Amino acid sequence: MFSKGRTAVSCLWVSSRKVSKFSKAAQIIVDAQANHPNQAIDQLPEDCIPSSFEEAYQLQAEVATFSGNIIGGFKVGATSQEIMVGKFKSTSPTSQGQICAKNSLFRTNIIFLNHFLVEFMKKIL
Amino acid sequence: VVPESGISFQASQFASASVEAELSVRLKDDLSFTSQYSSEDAKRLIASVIPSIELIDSRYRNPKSKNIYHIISDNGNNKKLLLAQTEFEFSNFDWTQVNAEMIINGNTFMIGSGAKSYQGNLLLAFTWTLRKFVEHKVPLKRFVIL
Repeated sequence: MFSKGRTAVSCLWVSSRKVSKFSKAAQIIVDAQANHPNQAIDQLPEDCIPSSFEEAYQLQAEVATFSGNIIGGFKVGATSQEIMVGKFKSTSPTSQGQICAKNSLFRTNIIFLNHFLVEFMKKIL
Repeated sequence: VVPESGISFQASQFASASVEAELSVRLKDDLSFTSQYSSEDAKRLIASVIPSIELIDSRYRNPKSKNIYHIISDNGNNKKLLLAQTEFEFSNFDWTQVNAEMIINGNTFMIGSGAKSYQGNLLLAFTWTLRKFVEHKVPLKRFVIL
């Protein structure tokens, strides 16, 4: 799964949580963030690659749940008129994230996006 | 801009690090879903503007080859947000004239225009953002940072 020769990821499953299609992917991302920060993931398993905005945000939410961070804010992409009026066509990260206050040396730590731009992103891509 | 002078990071904590200058806004009050949020309404909701540095990283190898869904699931490739210890009152500055200067080892690496980054108007971008939160019924609490 990881580059640099890693082929597997150890995942800690919390049995009380509802299992979704993306639970496995969320575990992989959280594990990577926590334990292998300098090793990029080559690809998520085929059965849990997000293929829509709904799925991408669902995965993001799962990551949030697993990470256990507290939301302190949101990342917002509002840097161009094209984005703001809904004409943006590229796949740049015009996305919005949540800022987490936990585990932050610098008061905040943005760690994941939110559902809020789903409908908007559909219109512009 | 960082809270503590001389703060440092280990490169080993990043898979593919990059840095961006940002302006963050702290809310003075909860977001109201019943407001239409004119620019004046939005201005009243600003507790402070905070110069910030975003540390960007990606969980994915070859991040530029990934689509928007990967980016969303990876928090927009964000790693951390560094907030200045000093927070500024919105009304005390002309934010259209604010520039960011990146300095590496004492040498200017890049200078960027805040005006260009926020469509020439931070308040315009902030107002748009609030309206989007209202539209999608996403609550924002006092002191939250955008």
